[in-house]
Formats: sequence, C-alpha cells, structure tokens
Amino acid sequence: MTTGNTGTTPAIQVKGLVKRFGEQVAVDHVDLTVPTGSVFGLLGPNGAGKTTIVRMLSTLLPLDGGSATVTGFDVATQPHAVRRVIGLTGQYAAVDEALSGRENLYLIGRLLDMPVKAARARADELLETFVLTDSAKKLAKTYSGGMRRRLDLAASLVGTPAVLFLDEPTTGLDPHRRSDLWEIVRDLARNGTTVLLTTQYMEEAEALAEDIVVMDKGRIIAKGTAAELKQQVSGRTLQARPTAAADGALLRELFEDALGRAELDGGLVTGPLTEDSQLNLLLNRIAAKHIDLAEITTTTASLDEVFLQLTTTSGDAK
Amino acid sequence: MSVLTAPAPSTDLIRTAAAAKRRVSFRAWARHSGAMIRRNLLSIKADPEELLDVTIFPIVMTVLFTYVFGGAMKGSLPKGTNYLEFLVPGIFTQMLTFGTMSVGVKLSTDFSKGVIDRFRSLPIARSAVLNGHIVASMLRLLLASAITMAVASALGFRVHTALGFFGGLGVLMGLGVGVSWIAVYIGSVAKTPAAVNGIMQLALFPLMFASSIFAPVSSMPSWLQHFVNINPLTTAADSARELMTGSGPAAHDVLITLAWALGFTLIFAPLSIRAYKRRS
Repeated sequence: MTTGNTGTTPAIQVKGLVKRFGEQVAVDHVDLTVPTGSVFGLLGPNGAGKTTIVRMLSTLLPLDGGSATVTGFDVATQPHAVRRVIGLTGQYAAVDEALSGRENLYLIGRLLDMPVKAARARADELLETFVLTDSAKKLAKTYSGGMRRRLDLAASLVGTPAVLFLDEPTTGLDPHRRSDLWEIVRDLARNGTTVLLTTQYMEEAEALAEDIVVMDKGRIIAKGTAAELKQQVSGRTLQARPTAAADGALLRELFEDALGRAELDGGLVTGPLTEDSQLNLLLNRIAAKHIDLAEITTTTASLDEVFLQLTTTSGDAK
Repeated sequence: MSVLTAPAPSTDLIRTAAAAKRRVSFRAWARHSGAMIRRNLLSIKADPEELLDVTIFPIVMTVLFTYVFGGAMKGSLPKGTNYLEFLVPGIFTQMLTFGTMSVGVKLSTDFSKGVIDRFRSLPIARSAVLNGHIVASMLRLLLASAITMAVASALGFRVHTALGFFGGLGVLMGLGVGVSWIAVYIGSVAKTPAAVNGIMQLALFPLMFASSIFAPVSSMPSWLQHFVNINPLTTAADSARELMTGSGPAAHDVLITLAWALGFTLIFAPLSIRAYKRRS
C-alpha cells in the first residue's frame, strides 16, 4: 500500500498546479485543500481557470506543473484509480442524446462493472430521484435543458463517487431548477460526498459551499468562508437622510470629518464605515448640530460586490 | 435520500483496493466494449436514416453498376466471366472499406458532444469506446452484406461454395477492421465530423477507382497498373473474387490483404488510443 484514503487524507489536495495553453497560463500555481465530506466552491468569472482545474483533477487534461491528488491518488500517475472514485458533471450535459435516459444510466452502470440487474436497478433508482421516471424511455435529445442537466448529474452519480466535480452545474438553469439542484447537492454533502463546485455566481457559492476560493486569470485571489470574504473587503456603508433637505450639505460635512469621505446625492448622504466607533462619534456630532434624521442605515457589501471588487482589483494589479 | 449516499467505509476500502489496480482485466475490457457496442447499436434506433447507407445504397450500387457498366465491361473481362461475377465481390470490397468512414465520423461527433468526457472520466479501458464503434460498424456492414447478397442473387449472381463466400467476406471484414482503425485515428485528430468525412473521401475515392474493384487491371494503362497492383483494395477485391466465385487460387491475395489489415491495425490502433487519450 503506497497510498490510500485514510481518514486524514484530504479528498482533494492540489499543490502548485499549473496549466498552460501555448503562451497563455490558464492555471497559475494554484494550491487547494478540500476536506473529505465538504462542499468546496471554486468561484470566478469566465476564463478564471475553474474548468481547467476540474478537467485536470478528473484526469481529462494533463498537468503542466505541480501535483494533485484525489482521495490520495495522484491524478498524473494513478489516473485510473482517480477515475474510480470521482463523478463529473460538466458545463454542458454530457449525455448520449441518441439513447434514452434509462439507457444512458444503464450504460454507465455497465461501464462501472455493475452486473446487469444491479445496473438496471441503479438506473431506475436514479431516474426516480431526479424525477425522470416518466421520461425514462424517451431519447435524451427530446429532453428539456433542465432534464438533461438532471440526467447528466444522475449519470455522474451512478457509481456513488466519493468525490463529485460539478462544473457550473446551474449555468443556464432557471431559478426554480437551480434551487432544486442546490437541494440535491446539499443532500449529497450530508451523505458524505465531497463536492467541488465551480460557479460564476457568488450567491451559489454562498448557498452551498463552506469554503470558497475566488479565482481570476488562473490565480487564487481570495479564500475563506462567505462571511470571511465579505469581511475581507471593508464593504460597510453608512447612509443617512436628514428630515430637512436643507441640512444635507452640513450633514455631508460631518460625514466627511468623521469617515474621511462622503457624498450627497438626492438628499441621501453616504460614507464608508470602517470602524464601529465612527458611528457613535458621528451620531453625537449630528445630535450636537440638532439635525433631525429621517433614516439611517448601514449596509454590508453584497457578495456580488465583493466578488466584483476582488476580480477588478486583481485585474488592475497586472 | 439513500440513493445519494456516498460509499460506506467498508465499501470504500474495497473501492480503494480495486482502485489501486491500474489495469483493466480482460473480462472488464470485454464487458466495457460490449456496453459500448450496445450503445452504438441502440443509437441506430434513434436515427434509422443512418441505416440508409447500408440498406438502400448497396441495392442501388449493385443494380446500377450491373446495368450501366455491365455491357461496356463485357469485352475487357477474362473469357467466360460475366460482369456480375466480377462486380459483386467488388461491391462487397467497396462497401466493407468505405463503410468504415462512418466510424471516424461518429467518433468525431462523440468528441464534439460532451459525452466523450464522461467516458474518459470513467475507469474503463481506453480502447473500449473505439472498439465499440468499430464492432458496431462491422455489424452494420454485415447487414449491408446480407442485403447486397440478396440483390445480387436476384440478379443472377451465384457463389462458388458457401465456405468460399464466407471466407471472402471474412477477408474483407478483416481489411475493414484495419481501415476502421485509420478512420478512428482520423476521427480522433480531425477537428470536426465534416473534416473527417472530407479526409476519408479524399483518401478512399482514388484508392477505390484505381483498383480492381470495378474494372480489371489488365484494361488499365501500365503506369497505373503499378499503383493498382499494390493497392490493398485490389488484393482485397481479387481475394474476394477468387474465394467467392472460384476464379483462381486465393492464398496469395488473401495473405497480402490480411497483412495490410494487420499492418493498419498495428500502426493505427496505438496511434488512435494515444490521440484519444490526449485530445482535449
């Protein structure tokens, strides 16, 4: 026994991973550690290198540098062993359109060395789970986009993989279908499957993943939980509206003194809040000047704003 | 949801032990290939027009060639041979080599859809996907052969011996498998299914006409004969003729044809598997 998945081995371990396409560096020294049984989010815009990483981890693309293991098996030197423990659902539904839904799943079962009966039973079981029983005998090419996605996901689960790669599983799905799929991913994770999810949507990463890595242009630009990522960008904003519009200019001055920067727009004064103590200070000063406030709020930057800020900064740095 | 349960610790160990074995056993290889053959045959059901080239086409070819060229050819054939006897083994040769084009096109279509990524991420023999295409294609061509034989019989074609007929068909299928590996290789490296089709046609058409498939070599100019005589389609058509109609001793042509088939397979099967693995 050289390697094996003992309890302490992370489900996925990536060190210094590099992939080049000609001149372009698609993945630039990426390190990842995905603990067993977690949902891990790989977040980034198009071209960030997410899909390339998934393709390398699922043995579809050779590595140009670094190393990667899945349940302890090296993707470069033990690809066959890796294939035994993974499931893959790509960006586009990888099903055979000329086969029925049931035949698609049966085919995978047979390719995974299941006996005929077991492969049939597993196919029916999955069709049931993914609400495809009624269309089981119809050709996959007649399926709607959502049905194809479900069939695709079912196909990647035939062998009950220990590690599941989901590459932008909800791109192009309507919101209703998206939340259905999220529920399935949560179920999988609850039952011990490790899921590596790539997505362009912060919302999706936040909804599903405990750990999130933000990528841009082949590099990791931030990592942490959704809450940590929000904090990483000091995105809190203080907004206040004076009861009398005439107080607007004065209020803006107070904001600027206390917060360093302020704007007045349509009667609403806005400034960046970096420390809680600033809030008391500012409120005291406003009271001293006898300005009545109609409303006052603090807002945290939405994750989408965080994401946008992270990816634009990384672009500027170049 | 029990369906979505990840492997329990005990089965996990089994999986790990199995996973540590790198190679696919012969039985697993046969099972994977079988599953892929089944997949390819089932896909015919989804698109029955696919069968046109192996059903209607051989009928049209046989009838057309017999009546269009039959009269013109009479003079240039060896004495005592009628054109039907000469043509039918040629039609079989043409069919079983040209028919392999579809293998390359289908593989290329697989690549252009996502399904090949799924197959490549599964712990199966790398050759199973390719074998599956080749065997399914050969089965299609057997159907075409049966139809051609029926039409030819109706037109008056008689086989010498049943053994000879099946022997001839066997030799042609052997070459068909060899040519299939070339088709699979082109299917693995060419960018689109249309490109595969184009390349195959470009390569096969001259080979088909510059051979003894439709006309006897003796009727061609001598510079062309040099080429025609080393063309594997010539030796294939000649062996089919000799075996099916008893027109002469077959051993020499059969050996050369099978040597070509073996050569094609030995060169292009490893190249194809390599290209299949590396394609991204």
